[in-house]
Amino acid sequence: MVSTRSQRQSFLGPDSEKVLSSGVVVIVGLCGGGSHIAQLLAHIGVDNYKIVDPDFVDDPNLNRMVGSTPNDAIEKRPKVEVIRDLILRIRPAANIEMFATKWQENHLPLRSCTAVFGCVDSFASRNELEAYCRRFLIPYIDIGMDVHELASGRYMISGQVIASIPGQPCMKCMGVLTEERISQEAQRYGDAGDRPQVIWPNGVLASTAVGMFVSLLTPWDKQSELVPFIEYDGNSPTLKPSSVIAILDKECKHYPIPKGLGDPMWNGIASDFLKQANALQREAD
Amino acid sequence: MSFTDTDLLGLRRICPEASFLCETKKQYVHLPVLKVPISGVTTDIEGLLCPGEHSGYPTRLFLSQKVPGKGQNWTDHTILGKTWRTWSWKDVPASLSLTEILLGHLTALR
Amino acid sequence: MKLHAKITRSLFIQILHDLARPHPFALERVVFVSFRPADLRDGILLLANNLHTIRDDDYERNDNVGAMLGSGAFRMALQFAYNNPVSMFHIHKHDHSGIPRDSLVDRESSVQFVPDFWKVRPRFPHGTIILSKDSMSGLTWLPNMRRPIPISRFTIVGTPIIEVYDGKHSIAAAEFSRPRQ
Repeated sequence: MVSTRSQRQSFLGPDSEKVLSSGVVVIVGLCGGGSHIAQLLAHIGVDNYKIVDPDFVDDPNLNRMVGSTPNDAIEKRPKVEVIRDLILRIRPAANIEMFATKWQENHLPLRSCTAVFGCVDSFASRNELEAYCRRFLIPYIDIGMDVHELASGRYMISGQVIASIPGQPCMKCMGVLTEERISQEAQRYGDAGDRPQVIWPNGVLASTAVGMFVSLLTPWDKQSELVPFIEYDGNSPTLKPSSVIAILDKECKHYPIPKGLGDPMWNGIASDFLKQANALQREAD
Repeated sequence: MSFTDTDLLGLRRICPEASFLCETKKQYVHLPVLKVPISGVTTDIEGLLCPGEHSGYPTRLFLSQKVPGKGQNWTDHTILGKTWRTWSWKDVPASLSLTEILLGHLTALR
Repeated sequence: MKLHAKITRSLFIQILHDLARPHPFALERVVFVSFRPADLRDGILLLANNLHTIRDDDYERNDNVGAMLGSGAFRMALQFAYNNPVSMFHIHKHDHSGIPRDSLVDRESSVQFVPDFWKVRPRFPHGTIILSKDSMSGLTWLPNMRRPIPISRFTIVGTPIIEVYDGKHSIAAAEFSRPRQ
């Protein structure tokens, strides 16, 4: 039985409300892209969130961070708190865990989530996050946008949404992440400056990413397959499947399964853990 | 450059349980117990050596914890499912032996 | 303590195909699947990494049970667990819909063979998983614990993503067992 709230999306399937409500999503990066994603997921019925961002709201964020207000910038509120409030306004019963840290400082919570949304702003961050998700079999959806100034003085907006599913082609297979790009970015450390960012491309990309996520959980169109790499041309403006898809191998060359799964340094259940589990079982008996 | 088990022999004099691990075709040397002086006390910490290019450096040494008062620009990296700390220390080339690469990085922590 | 098992869709489909193959005399088939464990904040994550098919010769005739494994089957699984840092799970299928539960026979045999895996791979969890037409359940034995712990969550990772919480699956039954890819 679908709630009145979800009536208009009942075409997603009879179990879709339950499926979306039971899933656990992680959003890494809560500014331009991540804030949109949080809002969209709350509207569509996701109830369990782990939201990650070490920063606080600043004036330059207000041009694109959904849910942020001038007061948040004045008070320098942590972004996790602003997004928590945004989600709770739409979904008051949502379970939200906040991590006002870099994701690397609290990575264990990612391992048992349904999917990770990566809204980070560097190739290096994407690389590490994807590698982690592959290792622990976590579906990863990445969004990114750029504004380029061309030699002619024109500006070009571009972006992409990628679904990196363990076992299937990764961002390296797709040519989005390369060692050269990661290395060149590292060389520019400190010279990056503030990259241009605007709200509407983030909105397009975030909506596309959430659409991918919903299709992964409630495949509402049995005839079509998930398009894992969508490119955005902000000038035309168009969204289209990347031409790279046609030449991708079915399986990933960079993260082969079963090699590379799990924690290679794990060598047994810690004694404290066992003691705790035993104690809990004795209590239950 | 890809190192082999023979190359590990020298390194195992410093860390007997050193072993190779791999992620996205990058080779790492896992150093389960590395003796590092922290605040004047020799402390066992875990290390991960990347004897090839990593994040813009020719080689890199990652540690399970920061060494207070040593090294500059510490950053966090998640590799092989675990978070490691490293600092800015360039110019330890990948052409050296594994032992030389490791010692080249540990110099910064003296 | 929570236990969460994950398996890729392609490996899951391989398992279903293997279990569906007819056997000369056994009424059902069994497989072993190895898992790489990892820590969670409040439990253990089990990541399926290899399917270990049991040869026809490694079944023994027994009219009282659906399938009886011979010592060769266990030897194969034990050898793999000895050589690799993995947890080993025995998997079979019940031919009904809904949450599968282990029968008395299932439980009695599990209690006998699971501890053998601690001889080759101590301090690792080992156990059993049962599939049904549209669900799955599992039990994990931890060293020195009196009773096994149920696997509270399964995720089949692929397109689509299927999650099974406490026996209830998150997607229509047809999708669960349909080998789309």
